Amino acid sequence: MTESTKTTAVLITLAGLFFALAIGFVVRAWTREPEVPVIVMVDRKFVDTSPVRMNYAALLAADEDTSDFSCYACHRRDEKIELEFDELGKIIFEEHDYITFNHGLAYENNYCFHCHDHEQLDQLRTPFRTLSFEESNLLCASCHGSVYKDWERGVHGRTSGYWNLAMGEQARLDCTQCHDPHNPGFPSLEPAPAPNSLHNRIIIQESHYDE
Amino acid sequence: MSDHAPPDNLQKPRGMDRRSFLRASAGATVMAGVAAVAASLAPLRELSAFSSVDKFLQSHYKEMSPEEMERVLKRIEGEVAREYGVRPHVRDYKAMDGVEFVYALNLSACIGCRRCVNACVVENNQSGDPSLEYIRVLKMPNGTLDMTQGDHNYEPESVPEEGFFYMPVQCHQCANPPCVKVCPVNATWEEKDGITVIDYDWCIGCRYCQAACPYFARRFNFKKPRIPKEQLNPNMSYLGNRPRPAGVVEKCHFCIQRTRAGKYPACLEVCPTGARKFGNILDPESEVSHILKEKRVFVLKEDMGTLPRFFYYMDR
Repeated sequence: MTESTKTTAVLITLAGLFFALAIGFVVRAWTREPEVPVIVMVDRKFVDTSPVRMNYAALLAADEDTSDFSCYACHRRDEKIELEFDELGKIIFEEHDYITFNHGLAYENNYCFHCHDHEQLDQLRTPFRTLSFEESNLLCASCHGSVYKDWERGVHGRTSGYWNLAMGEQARLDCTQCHDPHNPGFPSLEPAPAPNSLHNRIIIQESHYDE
Repeated sequence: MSDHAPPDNLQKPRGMDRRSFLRASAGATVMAGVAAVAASLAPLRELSAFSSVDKFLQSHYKEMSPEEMERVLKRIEGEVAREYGVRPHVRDYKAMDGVEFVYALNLSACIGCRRCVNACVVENNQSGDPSLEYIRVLKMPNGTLDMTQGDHNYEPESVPEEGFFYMPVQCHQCANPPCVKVCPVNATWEEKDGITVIDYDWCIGCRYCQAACPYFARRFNFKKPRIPKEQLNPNMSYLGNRPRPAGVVEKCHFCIQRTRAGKYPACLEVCPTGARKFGNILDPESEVSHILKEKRVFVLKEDMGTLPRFFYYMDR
């Protein structure tokens, strides 16, 4: 083999190599597809729009068990109920011990028959009239007048549906769909996860600039 | 080699002469060049901006005729259907007359549960990877409004925590929006109902608006957003929640696809405490009108002169 053919052979080999590389680049023969991370879905429980609790009217509308509200399944109609208090002035519950009683400052509102009618147990009472369980909003209003006024205007409480009443209906929740009347503080909730911490981690690493 | 050969310095080079060597190596160089060009052009196949000539030649939102808008909406529906396998309904909701939207948020009621953040992600088809959210909830110690003391990474077992209040921050839909002033291509502007919108097909991704916003309201798509198919909201609007391309800015638009159809925004509907209030400030009977008249209302960073349409108030 002469030097000339040797050189030609080397050049042809080189050209072939480059050509193969070109094809390789185009078809990505040795590129590994990057691993695609799983998309984090939003947990459905964090976008649930249902109220935090069910009141009597909601239970009725949903056709659910309302036996908790049928007082005369256990009580006699002619029975006069006597309450017992401990030394702190808290009611000692016998049957209704599932009730957490924390309404009013320092247990001041500590008497069942401030709100329930003493004679007709399946009724609520204000100083002026008795109300059914479905009318509980008015009972709340008898003490919390300014909040009730706000609620009537949609300023207090949850609304949903349409802001524009000409285009659709608006739904308003009752007091007792958010507040337990015996323990009216709004319940604590589990918070949804914090924002993606990728950037925050970087910020934390850089924070030594302050030192 | 022969004995009669000329002296060494005149002899032909052994193997190959200069000319044929150059010719052959030029061939090899061209080949290498082709390879390099092919390799460098390979990423072009992933370029989506020029995927359709129609999209490239599309006019600015405000200059589009109704017929062109119709075509554009059809094109977007087709693109989404191809990518997600769901046929969406993309509409172009126009601002209503006699309506100016205002948002009010009750800091006494907010418990920092971040339901609003997630409802917004689902309603507005926000990217799950990389994850992107319009609303940030700041946990602030009682007795201060110093934003630097806010923490948005809190993760306790349950909220609220003793000694703190919670302050959600999102786009304030300013009446004097600094983000609109800095946009070099008019891709973002204020509509007559008060919503500052973005034409995602016109945005060039310079992020000036993001730097101009004092509320950290704008988000940039560094990568193509990835939305879970199961989570895609098919009720879409051109200026609102249609899937965004990579390299554009997005932000809260008061759920334009809901509010311009008369409904409440998604963050309001999901709020378990009723801390969020929304409505038409030009209607004297609306919730927000009552709040602005009767509650102790303030705006965030009032000294910036941005005139937000997003008010905070406390009523306890």
